[in-house]
Amino acid sequence: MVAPSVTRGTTLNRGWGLLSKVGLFRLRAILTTALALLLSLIFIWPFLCIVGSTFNPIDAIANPLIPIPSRFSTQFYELMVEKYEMHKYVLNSVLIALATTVLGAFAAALSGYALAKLRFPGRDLLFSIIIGIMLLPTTTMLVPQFVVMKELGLVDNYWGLILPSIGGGAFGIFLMRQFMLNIPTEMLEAARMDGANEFDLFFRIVLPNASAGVGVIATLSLRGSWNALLWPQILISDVEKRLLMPAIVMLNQLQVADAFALPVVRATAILAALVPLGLYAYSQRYFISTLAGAIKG
Amino acid sequence: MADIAAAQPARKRSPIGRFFTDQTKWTPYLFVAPFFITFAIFTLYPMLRAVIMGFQKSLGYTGQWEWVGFANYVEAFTRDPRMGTALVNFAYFTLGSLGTQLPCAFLLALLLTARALKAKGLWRTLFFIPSVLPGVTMGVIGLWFFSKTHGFANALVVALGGERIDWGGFTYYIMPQLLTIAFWQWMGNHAVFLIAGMSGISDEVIEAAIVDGATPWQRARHIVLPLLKPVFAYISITAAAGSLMNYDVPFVLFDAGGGPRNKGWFFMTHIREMAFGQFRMGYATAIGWLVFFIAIVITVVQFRAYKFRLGQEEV
Repeated sequence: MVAPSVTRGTTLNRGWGLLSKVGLFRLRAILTTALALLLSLIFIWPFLCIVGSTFNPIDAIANPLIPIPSRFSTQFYELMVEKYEMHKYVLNSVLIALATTVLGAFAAALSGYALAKLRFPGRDLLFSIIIGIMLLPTTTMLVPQFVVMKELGLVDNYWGLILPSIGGGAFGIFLMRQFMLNIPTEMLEAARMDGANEFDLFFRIVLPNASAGVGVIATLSLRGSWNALLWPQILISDVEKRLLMPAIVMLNQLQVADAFALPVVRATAILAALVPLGLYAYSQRYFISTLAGAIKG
Repeated sequence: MADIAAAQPARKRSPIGRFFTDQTKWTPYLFVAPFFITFAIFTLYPMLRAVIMGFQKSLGYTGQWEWVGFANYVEAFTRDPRMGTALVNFAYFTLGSLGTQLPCAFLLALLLTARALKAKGLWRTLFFIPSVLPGVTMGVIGLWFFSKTHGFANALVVALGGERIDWGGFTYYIMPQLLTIAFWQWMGNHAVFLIAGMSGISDEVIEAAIVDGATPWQRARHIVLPLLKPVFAYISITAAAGSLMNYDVPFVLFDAGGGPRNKGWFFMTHIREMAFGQFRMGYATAIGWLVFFIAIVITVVQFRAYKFRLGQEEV
């Protein structure tokens, strides 16, 4: 009679122990998740508030701490197109971003592939040079770059924005090479045995297998081109050719003379942020792990 | 490119002919050519020109130059107070950014890797988002946030019973504003990089520490933190380089100037103003070289300090 009750007691205890362990874990899950939720709300809240403020009409008395507009209006977004013609600059920026990204990502893939998978004299030297270039603070050379652009007749010319990036960029090539290292060499050898030439190899085998890498490079390049302010600002002075970021900044400088300028600047700046946001949402699966992988290496 | 191959010792007949007939020999050079050609034209050549331009004075905008020797550099060091201002602001901004962002990023990374946490990916995304936004958008958000009359910060101050503050009007509020905006933009980004670094730490190391009775805090402090050194190195190198090139946010915030008493004046603001505001291309180039060397020194020092290497895990 004694023995079974002891057994029952221990199973019961074990059961309680398990339950409290699960309970503790659940409690910790609730606490940590609540903390993460609270912190990210604090973090995102001002952003929601400024988005909300762009939907206020000009005469609204709104509380900036609340993301809901006091009276909903798309006034600023209408003015953005009708009065300030921001859509022209959006189109200009889209054109430049697409051109630089497509050409740059293609070149980066080509170079990255050659440096990762092809054997040729001087390869390691070229890769070291690219690493060195990647670390050079070339942004500081913007004045001589501008002078050279002027001599080449590329000032106020979209080619001046496009041509420098069609080489793929040192960082793009570096990242692309890290990707290409994962492509099995046997696959390339097998295709060579079957008589594929080097170009077939790249287009039929390498590129399809490196689509994640190309996606990451394209995202970074598109974001960089879209977000850039300084270089397009000094290179393009023609109003018709102006890109979006310089256009927003120009409109911002009108805020003293024009009561609508500042709210429209806000609305345009928020709208302009949707491009990198969308891109990131689309490619985030690859994004973080890729970048982190490149550093760890 | 071709002469690299031509320089190879001739093993059999006509190595140059073989180079062009064997496709596998020349395609690699073709593939890397776009980068090196564009780099040569649009970066290397301007840099070589810049060596000379730094010793020159541009006469207006016409492309005429006059040799002035070291006058540009002498001026930058002795007669240009805004250079010193830019250097101080750069140091303040960099140390302030890293000092505020790194500890918070580490704590956030610990929270977001906690085993019990639900929906991990969502939180990472939310904190990472600000870092992909354009600098112009960040500047516009900052302008709104710190606006005297209808900004978020003052609404909060008033709600807590305080008086409206003229954030843009006082020298001592300028750098805190910039640091707040930078914190908002980059802290989550750093945290995500640290998380990625943490995922590379093997479970065995952590489990060994658990067996030895290390508390979660001891594990974080004595095991995770030291192993994240390369990631901290990467973050501080890119952050220092980034704040050396700081331009967009101050430009929007201070309307192309530097704010009260130039407390928001940075090197790139200075270069742009000298070259395209005052058309002193030679002087702006000389400043470009000074900033260039500051950037290299910072990078080298940090590489040494962290014993950091890049792309060394050859396959």
